[in-house]
Amino acid sequence: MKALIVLFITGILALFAGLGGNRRMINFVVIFGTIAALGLTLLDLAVGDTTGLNEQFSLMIHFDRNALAFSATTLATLLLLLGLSTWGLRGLHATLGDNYGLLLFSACGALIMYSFTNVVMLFLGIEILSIPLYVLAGSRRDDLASNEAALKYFLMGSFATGILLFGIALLYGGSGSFDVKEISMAISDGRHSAGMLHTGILLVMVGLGFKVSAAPFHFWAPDVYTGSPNLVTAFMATIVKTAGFAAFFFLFQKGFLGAIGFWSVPLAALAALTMTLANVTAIWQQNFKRMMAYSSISHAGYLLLGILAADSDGSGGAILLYTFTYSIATICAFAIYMVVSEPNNDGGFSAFNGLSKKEPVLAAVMAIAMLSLAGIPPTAGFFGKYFLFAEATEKYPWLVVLAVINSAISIYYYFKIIIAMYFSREENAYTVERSGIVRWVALAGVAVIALLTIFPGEIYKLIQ
Amino acid sequence: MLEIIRQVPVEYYVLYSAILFTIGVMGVLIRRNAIVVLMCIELMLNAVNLLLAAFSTYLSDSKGQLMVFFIMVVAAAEAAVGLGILIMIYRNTKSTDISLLDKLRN
Repeated sequence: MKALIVLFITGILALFAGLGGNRRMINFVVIFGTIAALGLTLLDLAVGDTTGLNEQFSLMIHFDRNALAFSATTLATLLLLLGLSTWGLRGLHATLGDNYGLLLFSACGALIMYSFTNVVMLFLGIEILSIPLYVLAGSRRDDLASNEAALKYFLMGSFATGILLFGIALLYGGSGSFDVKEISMAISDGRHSAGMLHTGILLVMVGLGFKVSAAPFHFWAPDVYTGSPNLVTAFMATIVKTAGFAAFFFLFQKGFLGAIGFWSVPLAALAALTMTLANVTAIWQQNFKRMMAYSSISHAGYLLLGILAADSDGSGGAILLYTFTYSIATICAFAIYMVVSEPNNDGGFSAFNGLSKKEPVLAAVMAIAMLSLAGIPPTAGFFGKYFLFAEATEKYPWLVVLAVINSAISIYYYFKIIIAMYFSREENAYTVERSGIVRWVALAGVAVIALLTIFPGEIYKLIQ
Repeated sequence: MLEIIRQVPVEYYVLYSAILFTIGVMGVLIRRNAIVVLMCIELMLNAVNLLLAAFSTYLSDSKGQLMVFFIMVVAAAEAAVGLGILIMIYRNTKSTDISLLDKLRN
């Protein structure tokens, strides 16, 4: 709760600091505010909450350990992104404060999505997360690709919201309440109209499926990821994905567990379709951001396994570990991509040709990020996949086999970049931007991956 | 007033809202003009509002109507952002046809 308040106030301060146009001042405000929010969250996790603020609004939002753990990983991801943005938003002047403000408000939505105990707050959290992002996706006003991305994201996002809301309305009609606990009781006691509740669950699943880009509701994602500014794409691929999956998981675990026999079949089909379709399509991509978009869809497919295992104790921890390792690796990849591609205006794989000779450190970071995304042992991505698949093995062995085959396919397209960096014979004359802050962010990301590799169990145990 | 509303069975409201909602969904999927698509999304949200108000009356519970207000506020915010995006696009392309916006696919 304290983190939410601090983050929100930081957003407002960033808007005001933007009026003065002092770049240093804005950077200081947003980074200091996020560090404060992260510190407060870690403090609550370590010593417990003494103010009672976390429980005060427990009918609407309640920051229990699960919500605090997800908040902490999200704020850490946000901190890396903000570090990146001091370089990534260098082209902006008059709108710099607005962009920072919108990023922070969007992160507030993510925190609400971790802590809701009422579906009204879930809806508001999703909207607080999404609406600033529609604006950010179109923040390069003269670029037609950015315009197109903003419109597509906006139309698909509000369409998904409509479907989600219809599902919520049917759940309300079936159970007479918006409270997650009461909906859960109504689903399990069998005295309420099962038809209305089950239709509601399906519609909510479709609505959230759009938000986390699970196939067949993923068609907007590649276009939106390609067209948006790089920094915003990194935000969408990490924080939005984490928030979407955490909300998906908490709702289905705390609310709909009584009907798991009903929703697990369509969800398993969704998971199988998502990972297969995304990995097979990603093989043919020539553009880095489009490849990362399909990669994020395929990770959504793996994460659906965690939701299918919602009745097992460790699934929350598995989702937490997986989303965190995935987010950090994605941010590292985007950091390198930004300095390699933006100065040369080339979004293809060939931009990475011969990077290992020009910038050995950056190439090594990129290689580690790609290995982690592919789930090669001993990187953190391997442990993420291992814990996630282990949760689902007992009930869905065929799905886990499919997921392992798909991980093997994904190695092909992640290694394309490593091959381009280290073994490509074609040289290019591209200059790589030398930016101190991007280097630091990349190294910090690698440090986090290393920590997660050595102590994967620690973060897994945060949620029990 | 409540008696009059309750003379109509609640299933009729569900059916009516579902039809309105489906018209909205079909509009989003079929129409090519961005403004009409935006209107169809509003239609979807209003179908939800109607359903919530009906349930709220039948359950004698005011929470459903509170949710309607939240949806209206969010729909207004969304419409403001959406129209802003449309104006930005219109300035660059002089058109609101969304089938023109397929540059990212190649």
